[in-house]
Amino acid sequence: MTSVHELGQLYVGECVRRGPAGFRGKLKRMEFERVLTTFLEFFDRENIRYAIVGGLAVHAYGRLRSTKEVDFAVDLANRQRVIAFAESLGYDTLLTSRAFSNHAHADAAWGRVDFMYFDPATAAKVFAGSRPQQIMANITATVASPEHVAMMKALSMKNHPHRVLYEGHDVQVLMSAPGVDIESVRDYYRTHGLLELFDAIVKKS
Amino acid sequence: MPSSRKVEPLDELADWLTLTPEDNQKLWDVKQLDWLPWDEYLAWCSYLTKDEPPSREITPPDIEPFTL
Repeated sequence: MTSVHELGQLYVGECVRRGPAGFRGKLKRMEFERVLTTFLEFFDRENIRYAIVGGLAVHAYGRLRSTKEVDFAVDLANRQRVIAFAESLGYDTLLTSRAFSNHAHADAAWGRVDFMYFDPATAAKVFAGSRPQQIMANITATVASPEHVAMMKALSMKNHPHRVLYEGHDVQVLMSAPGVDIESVRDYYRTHGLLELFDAIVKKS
Repeated sequence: MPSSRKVEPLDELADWLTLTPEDNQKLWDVKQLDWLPWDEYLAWCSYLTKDEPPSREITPPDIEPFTL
């Protein structure tokens, strides 16, 4: 009898075998590899510091986290440059604020990309703590630390309480990463009035 | 034919996808894996976006910046 694990592998393997060409067929899908490669090359070429955050970052620390977008964090000082680049690729800028920008493409293959922006002090800490991960053959990307990703989740849950169910699970996984500084994250949640939530999340893990 | 709702909500997917029962079963099968190599993971995320345009939902503009 085929195990659930084997079934999943067979199914995902089919997706992989289909490759980028398959995505241009009947079923139009976001081509995550192309989007990541394009932006990472841009960051490298333009010497722009970045970190992968959001669902992809959670996956980097051990949870198979569903996502339908790519999230990057960059310095606020580079906001106009990254927006201009996204728009040069054909993305529509849906929102630009001090904290975020959102971008969607008419071509589903390019999908959705969001940016978070950091002030200099925050950027220094986040980028210093970020870790390289090999996410594709010959491509290594910088991923925000589990502590910082968990802190970002605090804001998400504070603003969208209904997300606690799955963002909380993300935080559980992040707090179990090897060598993670749980107290620093706990302090951050305390600062934002979410200490009770944090303790409940961690207690469940 | 799309299912009206999953047997059990796939947490973050619950509000995103209109799933056939077959899709739902596949997604649950994959979800049981907990983790995948990056290439397979990205392919799986790609699958989640099939047949629908990218979201145009915006981050609420009053959300405070992430600061340390």
